[in-house]
Amino acid sequence: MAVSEQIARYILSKRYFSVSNRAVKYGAYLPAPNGEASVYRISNIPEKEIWDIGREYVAEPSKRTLYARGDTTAALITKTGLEIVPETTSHPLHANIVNWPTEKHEQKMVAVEIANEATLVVQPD
Amino acid sequence: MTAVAIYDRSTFLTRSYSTGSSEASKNLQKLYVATVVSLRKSVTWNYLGNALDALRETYEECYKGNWDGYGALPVSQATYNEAVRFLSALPSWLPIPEIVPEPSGDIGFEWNFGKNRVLAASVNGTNRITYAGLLGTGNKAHGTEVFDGSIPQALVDHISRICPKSAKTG
Repeated sequence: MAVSEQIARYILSKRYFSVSNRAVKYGAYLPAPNGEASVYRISNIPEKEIWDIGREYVAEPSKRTLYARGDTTAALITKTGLEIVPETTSHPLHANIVNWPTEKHEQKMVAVEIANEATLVVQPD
Repeated sequence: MTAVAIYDRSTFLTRSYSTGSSEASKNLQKLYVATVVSLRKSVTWNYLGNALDALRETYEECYKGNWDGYGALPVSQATYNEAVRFLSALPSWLPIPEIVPEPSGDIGFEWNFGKNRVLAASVNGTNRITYAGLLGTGNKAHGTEVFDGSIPQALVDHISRICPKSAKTG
């Protein structure tokens, strides 16, 4: 995976972003209990298609509302020591962020660093 | 003469709490939390009211699993109770943080003062605080602290370091 690739983390909780601060909160990037954070590779994908993927493959299966997404480069994620591994069972552009540190405070540090650089994109009405 | 009692938010109503497991103990703990919430929402403590409301809403949104669509663990009553104590124990001059639930079931608190000036801390009902922060360009800190009812000095120092003077409330 090229380090310049754009990576989207879809956000299904209102607690994970601030419109007024135009910021993604660190919680959006913490790993799930299975030790992975699910993301999509969105380089050169039209905006409408990016949102369609989020609704169809992330929000609808879990019966949640898609509010926003956090965009970063792959480089930003991998420079923290994490890896992005394609996992295309559900969708050809799906991947997981893996290789998280074991200690919770270290995971939190990495999530804070990624969220600090992420770009918030709110779903258009 | 009129006597006025002045309480420090960092200690008032945060020292005494039960860790017992009996039904009576749990009920007492619920009553304690409800009392703290009620008092904090009074005129004197109104500045904390919004945060306590947000905390309650967060708990109601997250007490069942998969609240984030990615398999998050539920936030427990014990975690919520500890989060109430954490908020109530913050020194009065510190800005109120935003509430950030975590996939592990922790309840987190975020102070975000702009790029590279962020601190996140969380509790999970075990009297432990996990924190991580960006303390200005090139500086970061992370670790764990015991939560004994008062906010650890290390955490206060980190927040003070990134908090603009204009954001301090006292």
